[in-house]
Amino acid sequence: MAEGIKDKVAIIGMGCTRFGERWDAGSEDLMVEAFKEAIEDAGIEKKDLQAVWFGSCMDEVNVGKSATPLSLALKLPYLPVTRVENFCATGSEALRGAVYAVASGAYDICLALGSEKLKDTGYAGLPEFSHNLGTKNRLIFPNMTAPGGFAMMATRYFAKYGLSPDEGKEILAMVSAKSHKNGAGNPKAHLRKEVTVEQILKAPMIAWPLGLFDCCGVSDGAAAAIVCRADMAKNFRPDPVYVKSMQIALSSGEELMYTDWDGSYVKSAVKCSARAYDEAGIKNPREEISMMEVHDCFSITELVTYEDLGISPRGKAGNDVRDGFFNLDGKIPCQPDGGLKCFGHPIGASGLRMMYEMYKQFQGKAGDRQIKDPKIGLTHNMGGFPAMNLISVNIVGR
Amino acid sequence: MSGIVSYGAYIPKYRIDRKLIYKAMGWLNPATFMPGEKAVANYDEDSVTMAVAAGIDCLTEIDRTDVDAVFFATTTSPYAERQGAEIIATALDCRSDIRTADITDTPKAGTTALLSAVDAVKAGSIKKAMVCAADMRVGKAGSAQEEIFGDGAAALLMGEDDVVAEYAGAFSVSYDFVDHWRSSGDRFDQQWEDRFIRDVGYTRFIVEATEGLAKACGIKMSDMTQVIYPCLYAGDYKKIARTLGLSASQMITPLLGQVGYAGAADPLMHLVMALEKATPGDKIAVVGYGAGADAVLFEVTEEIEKIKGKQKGIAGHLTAKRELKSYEKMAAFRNLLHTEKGIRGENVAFTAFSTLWKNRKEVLGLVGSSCKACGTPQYPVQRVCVKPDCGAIDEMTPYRFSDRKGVLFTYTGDNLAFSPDPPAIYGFVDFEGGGRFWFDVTDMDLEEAKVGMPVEMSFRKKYVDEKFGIHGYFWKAVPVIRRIS
Amino acid sequence: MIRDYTHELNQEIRSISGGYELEMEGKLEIHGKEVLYVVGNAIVDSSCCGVGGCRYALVPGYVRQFKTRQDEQGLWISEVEPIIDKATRQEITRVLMEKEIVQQVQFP
Repeated sequence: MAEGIKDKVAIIGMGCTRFGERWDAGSEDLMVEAFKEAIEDAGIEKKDLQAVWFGSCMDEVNVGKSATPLSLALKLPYLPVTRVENFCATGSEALRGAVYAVASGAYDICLALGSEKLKDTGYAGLPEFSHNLGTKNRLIFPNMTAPGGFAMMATRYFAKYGLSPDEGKEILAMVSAKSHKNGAGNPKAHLRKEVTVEQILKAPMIAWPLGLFDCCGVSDGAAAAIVCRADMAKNFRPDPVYVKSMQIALSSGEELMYTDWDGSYVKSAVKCSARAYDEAGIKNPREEISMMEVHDCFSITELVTYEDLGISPRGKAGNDVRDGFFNLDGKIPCQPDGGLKCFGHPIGASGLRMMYEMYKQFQGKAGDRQIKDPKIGLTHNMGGFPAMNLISVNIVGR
Repeated sequence: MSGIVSYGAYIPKYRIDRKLIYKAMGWLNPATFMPGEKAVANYDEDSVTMAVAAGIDCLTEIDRTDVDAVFFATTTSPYAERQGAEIIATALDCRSDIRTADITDTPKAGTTALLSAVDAVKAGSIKKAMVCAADMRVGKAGSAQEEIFGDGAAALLMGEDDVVAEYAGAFSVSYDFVDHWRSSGDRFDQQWEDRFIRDVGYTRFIVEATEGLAKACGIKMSDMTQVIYPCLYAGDYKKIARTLGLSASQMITPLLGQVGYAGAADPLMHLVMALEKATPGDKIAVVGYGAGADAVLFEVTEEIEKIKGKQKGIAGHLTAKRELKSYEKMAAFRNLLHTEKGIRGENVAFTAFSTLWKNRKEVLGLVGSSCKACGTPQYPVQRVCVKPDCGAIDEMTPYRFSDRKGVLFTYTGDNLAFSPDPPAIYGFVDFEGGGRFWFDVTDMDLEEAKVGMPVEMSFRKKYVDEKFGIHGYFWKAVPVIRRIS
Repeated sequence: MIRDYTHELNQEIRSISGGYELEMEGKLEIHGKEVLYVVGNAIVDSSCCGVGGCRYALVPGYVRQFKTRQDEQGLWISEVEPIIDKATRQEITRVLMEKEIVQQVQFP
């Protein structure tokens, strides 16, 4: 009978580079930066590592394929190194590989490192999608971008809950404003500027109804985690963070090709979080979760995620937003480090960066962003589009 | 009897007021002024896509598997080698055991294709033949051609059963009269002086062919209900009528002031326009001009009453208009301006023709699959049924979506995705009868878009890979065009 | 419904994917009422999916009280009535696109 991984694995070290337009750093530089911090934080040496998971998504610009780039950059001594990729949830996928390897009992100490260098395309933004959709899909998929893919969900959400575009955009603006405020206080964030709701609403449209401040950007960065068996963790540090659950759920094709899905939420997030809560033993997420980092690639994603995670009631997340429920001083602070919106989104690293914030918060090292006495932290990482995606939900605690 | 069994047409939605062209370029050649407006194919249209649109219109309520041949008439095929007729046949979801041919190189090609089709049917070698004529002719900036050329298409289905207009005879003259010419690889039409064209060719060949037609069919000019011939010069259009002794009622009002001169499609578009208003017993002559002239006579039968109003035809498309407000946009669409597409826009992924071959019906024909176990239509073709409670493997039959209407489930207007006509609009279509997929949306302003609005599918150019000379086609959603009954 | 509008010109407001700057304000008369509008320029140079940006206009609404008070940073605040009527919005959009050569007109 499968037991899940609750309390079998602990995180004993983490590292995270400054995210941003790192013209000064190549991929290898970012990997080494994140690795150094993680190793020092865990107090171990390279030779203590037994297996490694490497997350990088865009091999067109980054370092190319396979796990050899990481192994060579870090001079890993003929270790098992696996490269993983799952769109924007690549970082969480890398962590999941390392965690499951330790939980299986096959290894004691593993490293997960995600790294992405996105600023070398020459034309601002990710490598052109049609090249990485596959030979058939590029003949039939619309000429779309990520903002457009999520904008379509915003349109359905507003329509379903009777929000006029103005009302809807205002709620989204409040979601973004909150993250900007948090990001302003974070020295490693790409963007450290507060903005008001009014300033957000004065920005132009990107993909209707999403405007400039509803969309994340491209950043370079890397993050790493060192995990070990739960019963060994206290040998390394007094305050390890324990993994309660790591779940992933992929779309089945229904959203895109069948007519049941109403377009206003992310179906796999509902399924994934249910499994994650089950594995972690959480019965009432709204009461039990202390803090979250969710995938705010677009503000609508964050809004809908509050509901998909079972925290806000369906259609009512806007009320929680207005009440400041998710603010840093609210009941469940969300995006305490600024989120993708401000910290940045180097694809392969994001999932690990989310975990880095949870980790630092548990250890009381979050500076001005410190949340008081957190018990349970949740990270939510998404890859793809609402109609075709994967969701990773990870729960950690003391 | 052999003749026309069905007809259809297509006029691009964008219309430009000719005054805008004259305002932009009239300073260069002030003699080019023409009144009215003309139809401008969107950036995602060409002769092939317009021919498909006309073909689908013509095949309304007709079994596609009945088509035994497809003839494509044009002077502006996107490919010099890759048969346009076969791309059209695949888009129309025809069988593969058919004959296809491209008939090209002169505007007379439209009527020549018509004659080839009707001769094949009469000879008994083909039961039903599609004729699709389309043109998207480009004039240089500031030229008279730029003012007069318009884009459009027409389609006729020729057969022996339920003929609505019986073929009654033809007469052709052929002359290597070089009034216009364009060498292989050249983009622009060149022409000799208008006086020469009008006096030596235009007014003479059309008269010669039409008089020859009357004689060959044993009828008088006054027996013809309508005589259709291209209007290339307003004054000489009337001169031809006087020479032939036509009365005012025998002349049609040309589409020059609403569509423009549509090359190979022109005579057939006007024929469709005449058929839409014809009554049984009408004798309609249609003349194509170029390298001589073809004159063809049809006699309308009682059957015409059965199909009137079924197609969008000329009447339906004339009213489906969208104002093209800038000359620069028209020039950019036709590649008269070197526009900045950015590295992202220039960087088109290579077309895997082997993938396209495997999936040609899916991609070009929008044919998906329907699950026999649960009856759920799905696109693209699936081997594992998408319905959650079903999941049956390999229980599929082909299911065509191209002629299905649907609603726009959701949409966005994207200012970031590269588009030659921003914003890029795309969304999901939920089809009548089942099935959903995401598509680009075209021929619409963002302000018109509404969740739940009715849409239909239109065959369009999805991309052009200029580096390798590849025109890629797929389907986009468009607002529904109404039939006029 | 009356709302506050804060006058903030010539200040770059940056997001992670780009930024905008409002450069000038103007007033229009529509059906006898005074409408406030602002013209801005945006550049989107760090988004995930391409370069964008535009010259655009915002229409906060009909002017009720013009620059009546200042906020803590010394920025003037006006009271405006947002324009809800679709036909009026379309008319203003048409006028502004012609007059100010903008690619988007928003009614925040």
